[in-house]
Amino acid sequence: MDYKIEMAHDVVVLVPTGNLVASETESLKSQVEKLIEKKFRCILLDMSRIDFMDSSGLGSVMAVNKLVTGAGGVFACAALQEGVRKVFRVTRADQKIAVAATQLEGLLQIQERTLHVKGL
Amino acid sequence: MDERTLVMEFEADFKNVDIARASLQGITADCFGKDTERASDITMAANEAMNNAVEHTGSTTVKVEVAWNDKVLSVFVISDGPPFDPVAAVAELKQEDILERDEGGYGLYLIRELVDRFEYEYRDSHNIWKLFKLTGI
Repeated sequence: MDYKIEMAHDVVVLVPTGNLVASETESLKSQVEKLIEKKFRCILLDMSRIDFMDSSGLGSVMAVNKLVTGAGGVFACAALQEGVRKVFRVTRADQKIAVAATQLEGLLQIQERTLHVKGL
Repeated sequence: MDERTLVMEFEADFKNVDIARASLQGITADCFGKDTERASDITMAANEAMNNAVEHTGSTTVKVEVAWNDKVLSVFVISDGPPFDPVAAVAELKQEDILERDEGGYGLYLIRELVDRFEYEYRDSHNIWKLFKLTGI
């Protein structure tokens, strides 16, 4: 799985490309673990280039959400393709993880939640 | 349309599931045409059944039998190994538990939600998952 990383102020935008499936799940976790080690706490997963995701892939997104929030950070997913969105909806994962329609909306969501966490 | 079939047999490995899924995507595109949602549904469900065969049955090989006509697309996922625990399976399908789940346990739930019918059978020391999606809708 290929990744692109962008920075938008304090938010790291992770843009994986390909299929988020059982054969690739460790890759996502390992990228986020490295970001947390480097003290990044606001992570947006832009899923616009994920063509297909299975339950293992969803499990890895749930794990990453837990990692980031467990470290006191803020995590969101954005720009889900139709099939990926359906997996979120059917499993109700969209009730556990913040999901934004676009990368820009995701960035705004994270910035607002960061201010809330800081009590501002 | 006359019934068409495709049989794939592969070493139990997630990388091979990726290849089998790609073949299935071609078939579902052919079956469902512009109805990409139904095509995607059965592909995802079959992917979960194949993952399950690789991860949980201890089987060294997985066989996938696909058959389709103008009424229905069926995907049978066959693996050897001990039988799937039907009680655990039913427990996994309890909808009220879905929000309590963390990183796993969504596979069977997804299968049920995404196909029109599914069956599980243990026969001749083989686990057989049978998934059906109507094509003539």
